[in-house]
Amino acid sequence: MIPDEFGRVVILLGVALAFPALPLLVSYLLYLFHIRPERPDPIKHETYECGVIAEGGSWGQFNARYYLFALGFVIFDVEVVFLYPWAVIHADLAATALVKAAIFIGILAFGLAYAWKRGALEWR
Amino acid sequence: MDSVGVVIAFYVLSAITIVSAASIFLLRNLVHAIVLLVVVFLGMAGLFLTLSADFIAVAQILIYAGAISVLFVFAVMLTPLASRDNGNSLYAGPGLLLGGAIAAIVVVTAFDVEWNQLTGVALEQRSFTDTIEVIGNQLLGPHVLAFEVASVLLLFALLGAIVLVTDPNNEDGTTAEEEAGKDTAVGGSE
Repeated sequence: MIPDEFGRVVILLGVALAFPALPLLVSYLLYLFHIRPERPDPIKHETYECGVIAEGGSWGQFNARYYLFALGFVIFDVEVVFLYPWAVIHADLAATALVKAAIFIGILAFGLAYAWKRGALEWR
Repeated sequence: MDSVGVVIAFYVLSAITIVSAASIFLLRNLVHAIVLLVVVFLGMAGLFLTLSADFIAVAQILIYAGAISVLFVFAVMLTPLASRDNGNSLYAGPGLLLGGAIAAIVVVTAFDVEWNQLTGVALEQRSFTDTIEVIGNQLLGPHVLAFEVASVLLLFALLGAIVLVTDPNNEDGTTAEEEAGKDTAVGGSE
């Protein structure tokens, strides 16, 4: 059975859901009681892009180079998940555990070095 | 006792997961489908928690809800037909066959496996221990080869992405380049 500690995750989930919902609710309530003015404007409904006026839709085809960054993120995310159990227990293990992790990181570091050398990390 | 809470959590999480998964098939907007896919992943992470698999649950959130969903978003962004809905399903027939086959395997396995390894008092007395130390010892002990081979698999994924992106013969069309340049111009001001 899972401990009660995980039950507190549900409380955290409730707070996390309430946190963004509460301002919207308060704003709507203020509107209902005519405390907040309602002045719609097309400019207010524009997509905010750091003050730059957005051009076109966001549905265009993007450059395939973005995919390398997405996949690189996934790869090193998976690496972290594999290294996390090692990080928890490595103090109890012999030095061979360090070597095993070094091989694991080394193989991926080779890939990163290759990407660096081919200039795949630079935007051209 | 936490068992009542666990049962409630199981049914709530199952309902969220199944409803979201069914909605993915019904939605015509691909991006909305991806958002619901993230909800499915989170619901499955919660289901893993109810099964006392804490590390798998966190890994599910990190990898699937965090990273795989980003890959899905990028796949939609890079696809020329991304502006359309998912109306033209060319592989509906084979997909239905494959999905039915996988579902049949899952159902047969679910009924075939003897799930009740612990029963009665032994199940009641079993206390929760976090699984990560066991996973670490298994990963660095008997399964160290799989641990290193996983690194090789990730390496090949990285190399494949590099080849896919930097191949000079694969630069088809300048329109995608121009559009992407415009996108970076807009996004680059952040």
